[in-house]
Amino acid sequence: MNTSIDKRLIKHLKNRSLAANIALVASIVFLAAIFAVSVMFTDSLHNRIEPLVYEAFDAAQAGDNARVFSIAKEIDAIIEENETRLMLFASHRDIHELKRFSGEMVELGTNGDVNEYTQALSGILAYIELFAEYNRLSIGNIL
Amino acid sequence: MSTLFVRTLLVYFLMFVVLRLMGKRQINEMQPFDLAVTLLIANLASLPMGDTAIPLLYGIIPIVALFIVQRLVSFASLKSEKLRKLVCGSPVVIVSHGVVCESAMKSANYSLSDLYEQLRLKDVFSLSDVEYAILETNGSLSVMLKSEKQQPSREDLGLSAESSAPSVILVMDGKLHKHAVRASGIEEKTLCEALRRMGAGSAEKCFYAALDADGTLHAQQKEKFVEEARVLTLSNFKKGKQK
Repeated sequence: MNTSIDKRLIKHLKNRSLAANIALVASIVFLAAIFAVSVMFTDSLHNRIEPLVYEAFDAAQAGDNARVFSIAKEIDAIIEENETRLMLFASHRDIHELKRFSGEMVELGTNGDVNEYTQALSGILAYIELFAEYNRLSIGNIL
Repeated sequence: MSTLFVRTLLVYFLMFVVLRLMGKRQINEMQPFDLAVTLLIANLASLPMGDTAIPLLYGIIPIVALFIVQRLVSFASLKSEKLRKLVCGSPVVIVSHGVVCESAMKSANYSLSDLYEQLRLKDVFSLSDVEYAILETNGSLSVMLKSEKQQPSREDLGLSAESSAPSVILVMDGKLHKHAVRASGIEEKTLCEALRRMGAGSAEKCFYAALDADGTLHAQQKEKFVEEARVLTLSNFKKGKQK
């Protein structure tokens, strides 16, 4: 074969090897970014919703349904606002369930009783904790 | 439904990129470990493809993670012979000096039927013709025949050995491969003239045109331009073209 073809072949192979190495580094960076972003996002969502849920629990116990309704709308808005990003990291079925519980809370309005509010709030809390917990790197999750 | 379609396209693109970057070749050339990783990637890709409730990242992250590990293991295997042996295994000599090594066959879980099958695939129909047979790490068998069963080479017959090289494709499916033409040391104009002289018409009308190492130009016209396709030959088109 002509030597110039050999040189081109070598150059091509070197470029391919370089591309694979660049892709390797990019993949590592991509995964690191995904891990960091997912944990930050689910933790922040958890930290925003959890206090509201406990506040709504207390309001429901105290019979302050207007306050419960106002918190329910706030929680629903937060979930709605973050739904697309949450869909990146969590099972869409679980997100659907979470939305069902928050929707139930809004639908109850000021006419729900303590048990109904508690059931819906427990559902919201369970799913929010589930998302945060599943995204944490822990021995339990690995096993 | 359209979600499934778009997801399939995205996962297909990711699979394509990852498998290309992993440098995989044909399945029969793969090491068992490479094959297992490839099958694993295919399986992981199918999960988010078929179930829209699963986030796309649930498929992407394991695939990217496998790509990273595979690249790192491949790189480390290149640098360390020990790791290479651990990952790929070592070739096993099945037949040595014409004697079948029973213990080697047992250690490789290789039966006599397997041995005969592989030999037949190499056009060897008698075990007594085999001097050496080595079971390679990718599962293929390399066979060295006994000297009296080997085909004589040009050197054995005292014939002069001309240097050979594969032919260069200059035109493919009507398209001129300009870099190949340049690398062959000929001008486009000269090639087009030669094609016309041969009766192949222009490069656009050629299904292919190739230049042999001895300078012979072969060309075949596209079926739509001729009633009966045939190979046209022009000897000594380029004397001493390739070195």
